[in-house]
This record gives sequence, structure tokens and C-alpha cells, in this order.
Amino acid sequence: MDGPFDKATVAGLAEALRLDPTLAGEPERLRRALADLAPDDERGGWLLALAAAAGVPALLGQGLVAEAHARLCDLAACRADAAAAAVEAWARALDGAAEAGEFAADEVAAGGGENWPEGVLAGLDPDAGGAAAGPGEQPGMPTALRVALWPDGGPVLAAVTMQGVFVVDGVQAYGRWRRVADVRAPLSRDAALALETVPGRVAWTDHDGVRVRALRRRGARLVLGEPRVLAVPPDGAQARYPVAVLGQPGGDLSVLWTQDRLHLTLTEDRAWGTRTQPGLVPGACGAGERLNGLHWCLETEQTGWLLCRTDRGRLLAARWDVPLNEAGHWADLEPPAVPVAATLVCVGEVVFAVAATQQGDLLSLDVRGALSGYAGWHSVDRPAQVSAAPPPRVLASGARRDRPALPGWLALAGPGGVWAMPVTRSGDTLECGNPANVWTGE
Amino acid sequence: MSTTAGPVRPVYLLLDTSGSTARGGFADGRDQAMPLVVDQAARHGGLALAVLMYGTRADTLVWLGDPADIKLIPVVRPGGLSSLAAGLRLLADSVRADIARLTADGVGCLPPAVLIVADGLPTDEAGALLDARADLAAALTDTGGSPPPLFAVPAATDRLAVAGLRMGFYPLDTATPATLAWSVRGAFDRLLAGGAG
Repeated sequence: MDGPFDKATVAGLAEALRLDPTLAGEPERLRRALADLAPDDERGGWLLALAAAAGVPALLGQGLVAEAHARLCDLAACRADAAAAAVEAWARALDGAAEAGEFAADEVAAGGGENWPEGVLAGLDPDAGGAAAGPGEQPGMPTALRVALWPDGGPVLAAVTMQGVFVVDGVQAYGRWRRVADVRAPLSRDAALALETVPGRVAWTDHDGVRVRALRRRGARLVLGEPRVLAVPPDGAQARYPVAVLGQPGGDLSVLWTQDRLHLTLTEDRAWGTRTQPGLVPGACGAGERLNGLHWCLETEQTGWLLCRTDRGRLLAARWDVPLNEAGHWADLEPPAVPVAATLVCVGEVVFAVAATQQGDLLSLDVRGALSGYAGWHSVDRPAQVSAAPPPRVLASGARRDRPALPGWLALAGPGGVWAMPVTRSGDTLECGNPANVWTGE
Repeated sequence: MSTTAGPVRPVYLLLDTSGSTARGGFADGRDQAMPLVVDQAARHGGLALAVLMYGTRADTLVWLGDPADIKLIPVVRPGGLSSLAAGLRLLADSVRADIARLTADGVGCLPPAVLIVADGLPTDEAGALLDARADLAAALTDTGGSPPPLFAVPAATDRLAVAGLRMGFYPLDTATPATLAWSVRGAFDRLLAGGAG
């Protein structure tokens, strides 16, 4: 036997499900059934039952092949080749194409065959060392984008698209996007990243609340924890956009979110539990005005800044007091052009607001300097590839405040695709490094 | 069966012949146990013995009769699922039919006894299994109130699940086919001694 299974085991799974489809939801009973139907392959039976316990049948039922593979690797510590073979076997069995005894051993070992469901297995390469070699998840164009950095300075991108919420470790994204969640009405949702916490977190909003998943790096792979509900809106309300998070090295996470795009609610996820407090942050919007974007970063261990963009094109900043857990008053940063997107990042120990105009120009502002009256808006030179692309509509940035020598990262998304580039501070402005075009399947 | 020999106790042996019994010499040990059990039943006297099997489906290997008359027990090749539910339903039907037949023949019957020999828990859906167990319980109650069936399985089997089936638990020694055969014989002795727990 070269692969993880005997051919009889793969056939046995199909036969077991034909005899009793409820076996897919009862892993231990399934394992016993496979012991009966493929008694010579105890290992294969355990692996297929493990896949059932990890929820692979349900994920395949939703068409989430890459997530099924990742779930086996992440939660069940499966080797990539074993996970791929298990997903293949389940896909075939659930598809109903399999008949007992029809499989050839070399077909199974090769991970293919004329009866395999077309397209279902695309992207799963058993030899890929955990990463899908094919396209895997294809998130599409982001409607919201976030960037955060690992301690070594490597970027992670989170994107909300019409397909759901996704993350990718690094900018070489082909075949490496991971689905975080499906969300209802994606245009109404947002996501945020925090990698200062250990493990890292990705948070997002959905109709029924704010959720979070842990993020870890295991070798070259991004490992996602199980989703957890952080906050639930009152009856009849939803968690909408924007959302912002602030992570602490101790693992604490603060989340600012909204149900009405007017008022912000603070949810703190601490070791001792989760606490939600509305009304700690003063309202930023005027009459009839709504929040479009929200960003949050630390400047020192004690202080941070909030930046919001409204649907009237205003950019407002407020100081955040970490020990007191409260925000100061909002101040209008008065950008020289209407921003279509904005972000906030602490690079080289200076907190910058970065804005994109309708023409695609990038502007930056030293926030503290501006509010102290000595700094103004500057143009950020865009790399040629970015200048040549249509103007971006989404902007995100991230940096390690605890590693000021490392460059930050800036990401833009729009009709020209997704671009990500390192940024460094040069005096009171920002300089962009070479951009990478981030694959999204579009 | 003679009408002058006094009442007999019907004893049912229900064997798991599912595919997994091919593992670890379980089927070999089970087959080696059969002559030991039949001899013991014959020596004991006053018993009528039937041998049934279950895989995906259930079947009767030896109809209820005097164990001294049993010359051959068909060898069953391991195969199929472990549908104990099918076995229990066949057992319930057999108990009802056998007792009716013995009574019609004028043979007095003591409450039946049941020994199940399996290599592990079944593969049935829980509801179907519990329904079949209830059917067997009704059949046994109708025939005089038998002790719970004795479920002889490898020692590592989930004892709580066996208790949920309202059966006695007998741990089998599966180290070798020979130890398993003698262990099945030990379970049979326990059954005849009236101990189901």
C-alpha cells in the first residue's frame, strides 16, 4: 500500500454510506463500520473516521474542499498527503459515484481517476507540504482589507469579499488563501487582524455578532482555530462595518464594533472572560453621517489612536488611553482631497493616517504632529505598477509597534487588483517599497 | 426433543461474523470455541442449543435442538457490517417460534438464556438497535423472564455502551485464538451458572 488507504477502504466508505448515510455524522460508529468493510486497513479506517470527526463531510457538502483539507491539517494534525487522500475519499463517497470494488489502487494513490467528481478536488496536492498547489480558495476582490505583521515582519492579509472572509500568510497568495468564515451580506461586514496577541486573531462581523478565530503559523502553513463568538448584538440588530481591533502581547484583545455605523461598542476579550461596553467611545458622526471605516493602533504602550472615515469624506482621529480604556474627542484631520479609503499605521514610532483619493493619489499625515499643529498632509510616492493601475477603493496597513526598525506594510485593492508593499518612514512621510500583486482569483 | 425428559432451557448463541472479526484471529478463536461450547452444553444436560450469526444481516446456523445431536457447525466467512440489531430481531423471532413449537410438542421450557459473542460494539444506528433490544426483551419476557443476555466482547469494549443495551458484560481474552476460544467457553459457563453481570 503506497497511499494512506487500501482500495477496499475507499470502496468501503462508499458502501458504508450507501448502507447508512447517518454514519457520516457518527465517527466512532463509522470507524467500526469501516473495520467491518475493510478489515485489512485499520489505519485507513481511523483516518476516514478522523475526517468525519473533523467535520469533513459537512464541509464538502458546502463545497468547501480546501477548508476540509485545512481542517484536517489544522485540527487533526494530519499530514498534508493523508489529509488530501481523506478529502478525496470523502468527496468520492459523498458524490455517490463510488461503487464497491470499482477503485483501482493506483487511482487512489494518484489522487485521481475518471470517476472523481470533476473540479471538486482541484487545488489539493498531496505533495504540497500543506499548501494547496492549485488555486484552492479564490476569494475575489476585497470589499474590506486588513494587514497585520508577525513578529518577524511578515504580513498577513485579511479580506472580506463577496465570497466570505479570508486570510493569507504573506503576499504570495496563489493557492494559499484560507477561508475564515462565510458571512451574510458581505458588503455590510468588516474584518480586523491582530498579531500582537499570541496566538494571533482574526475578527469579523456578521449578522449575528462579532466572531474571532485564532491564527497561528505552523511551518509554512497558516493554522486557524475554531470560530468563537465575542459579542452578540441586541435582538433585531446586527454587527456591521466597520470593526477594529487592538491586540496586546498578553493575549488580550479589544474590539470596537458597531450595529448602526454611528455608535461604537467596545468588547474586551480577556483571559478571565469577555466584557462588552457600549458608549465608551464618543460619537464621531454628525447628523445624518455614518461611519465608513475605522482603524486603531498603538503609539506607545500607554497610548494609541483611532481613525475613522465617514460617508461624508471626513477623516477624524481620537487619542486612545490604554490604562483608562477610553477615547478622547474626535478631531477632523481635514484631508486636502476627499478620501475614498483610509488607514492608520505606526511606522518608525510615528502614527500615520494614510488616505487614498478618488484619483488614486496616496496621502499621509503624522497624526500627533497634525493635532499639535506642526505637521501636514504629504503625498506618498506610489510605485509605478500601482500608479499605472486604476485607483484603489480599499486601503489597509499594518506594522509592529514593538519592532520599529521593521517596515510596515500597505495594501490597496480596487479594479486594478490587490497590491501590497512595505512602507518605511522617511522624516514625516512614508516611502513605499516594491509592490507585490496579491492573487485573489479575479 | 423428548417429552419425558423434563423441562429444557433454550440457550441461544449469537455470533458476530462481521468483516472485522477477520482481524487478530477473532474469527479463528470463535470457530475454535464452538466445539468446546457444544460439548459443555451436551455435558450439562437439560439444554437446547441454537446458534445464530449476524453481519449485515442475521441468519440461523444451527436450529434449536439437543446439543448432543450437533455434529457440524457451518463455518462462516467474516464479512459485512456488525448489525447486532438484525441479530437481536432474529433472536426475538426465534425465541417466540421455538418456545411455541416446544410448548406445542409438550416440552416444558425454562426461561431462555442468550450469549452474544462479538469483537466489539455494533454498527447499527442507536435507535434501531434499542428498538431491536426492546423487541428481544419483550420476547424473553413473554417466555418466562430470562436474565439479561450476556455480551462477551474484548475487554477494551466500552462497558457503558453494553450497559446501555441492558446486557451483562463478559470480557474476552483475545490474546490468541486459543485463549479466545477458552474465554468464550468461560462466558458460556457463566451463562449456565446464571450470571449475566
